[in-house]
Amino acid sequence: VIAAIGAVLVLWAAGLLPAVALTTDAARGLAVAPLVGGLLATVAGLASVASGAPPVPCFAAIVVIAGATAWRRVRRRGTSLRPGRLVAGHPWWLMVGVGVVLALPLTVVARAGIDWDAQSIWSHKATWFAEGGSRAREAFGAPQSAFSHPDYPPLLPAAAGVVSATTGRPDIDTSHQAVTAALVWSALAVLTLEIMAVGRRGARSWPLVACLTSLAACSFGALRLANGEADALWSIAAVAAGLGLLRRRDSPADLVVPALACLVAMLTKNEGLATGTVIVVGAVAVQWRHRARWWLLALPVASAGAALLMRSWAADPEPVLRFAHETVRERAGRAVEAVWHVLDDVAAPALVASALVLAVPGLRRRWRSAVGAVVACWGVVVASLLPLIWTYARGPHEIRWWLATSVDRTTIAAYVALVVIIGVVAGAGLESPGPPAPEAASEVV
Amino acid sequence: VIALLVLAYFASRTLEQVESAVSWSERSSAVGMLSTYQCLGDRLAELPSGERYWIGDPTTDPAGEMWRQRLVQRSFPAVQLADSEADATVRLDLRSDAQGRGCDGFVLVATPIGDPS
Repeated sequence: VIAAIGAVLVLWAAGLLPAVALTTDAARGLAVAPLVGGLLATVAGLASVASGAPPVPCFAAIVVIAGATAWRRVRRRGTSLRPGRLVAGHPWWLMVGVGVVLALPLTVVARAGIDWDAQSIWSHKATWFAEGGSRAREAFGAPQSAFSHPDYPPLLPAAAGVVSATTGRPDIDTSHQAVTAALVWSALAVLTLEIMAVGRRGARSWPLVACLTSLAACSFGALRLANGEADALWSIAAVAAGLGLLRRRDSPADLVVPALACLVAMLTKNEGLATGTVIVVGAVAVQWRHRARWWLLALPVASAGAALLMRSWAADPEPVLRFAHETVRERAGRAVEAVWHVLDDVAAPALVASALVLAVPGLRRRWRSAVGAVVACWGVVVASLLPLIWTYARGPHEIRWWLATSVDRTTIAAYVALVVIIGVVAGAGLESPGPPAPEAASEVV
Repeated sequence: VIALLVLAYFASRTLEQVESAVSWSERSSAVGMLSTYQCLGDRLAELPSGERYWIGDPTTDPAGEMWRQRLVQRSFPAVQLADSEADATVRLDLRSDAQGRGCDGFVLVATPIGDPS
């Protein structure tokens, strides 16, 4: 328990000040802090392995630099951290309540044990990052390490390993599970904030609908939230990113939090890298004339750079160009069938809700904000499923075994996006008609 | 209202899953499996060359897919694998050992195929 609490506190503390500076809103800063802490730890982990330096000094240096830069930015903008401003357009007690409810599904972390892939792929590599330096480099490059997929993206093992090293490495499996749970909570909180952002600022019904939606979205299999695997993290982060980036938004500040979520998705798993890249390209295309959006293109470039670095350390990286099969069509057909079997119970109500919003003219005008959100969520569904079907069709494994052992977790992003469609329509329906509420002066930074 | 009810249904499913998972107190057997995996990999690396091996687990992995894809081909490419059991000269079986010997109670049993000597 001490290892778990220590790991979460280190993650939160490392990311808090930069998160507040990036979001200019203390409530969002608290929600985003674990993700920012995870990103800083990832940079530290990669720097440690690349340079041969121990991980803890690398992490300390990066946190100090990021914290000092953030503090200057906070001071320059005059952002206050007083409790009275912890509102994000809503009473602070309501936001705290939402945060507590979002933590409920993560109580599965109390279940003892860590699953097979979580240990052999993620937690095992966390021990290398905790060791850092040249010994970690040897482990990455050893042919015997191939079972642990050293070429997979770095965020989860780097964050768990570096944080665990910082807390004195009491128990790496426990630290890994705790760090995963904290990151998933943060991704869920960002998703909830992005759903709330679909409605009018300050509209009272949206926090409750958004919270209920996030809770419902976890029905893909709550055990996967905190069993130490990476699938839930990248998937929830990708949906939050898609919802925030694939809509028309005028303020560049609105892009920062979803962009962070997108970076987390791309640095967590190869599926996240593919999905995030499609989302970023779509986000730039949505408002092509807004040059303030072009910097988003740096995200997939940076993530691909990290992926290439990991591949360069591995002795036997998986081929990027997939295998060719004579039975590509048959394999793709089996994959589509299996994907539909996982998604059909959420896809049906999501299709009905989408048809209401998009096809009924009166509703389309009245629920204009929901229209953009529904289209954005379908964008995430497509962005996550197309690379997935392509991978199943051309991948190296026997298709029936492969689908049976993976399809329920590779489709989490599409599942979550479909649930969010239902939530957005519910929120739009509950919102009372009227002009946008003026922003309170105390909340404007 | 219907959309809210649908959300409430899925949210209740989440809470059911959480309750079920938390009440499951048995520790996952996967905890010990990593060392087993590595230990068996070390034994595979010691196999003599010049033979064609077929490996599988009769109950959970009859086609040998997991072993072929995940362990032998990727981690120990020097081990010569047969394309099928009929083409092999040595069959390797993964068996649990009641006395707990070998790799955390698992042993690899090598059986020559086609040549009793």
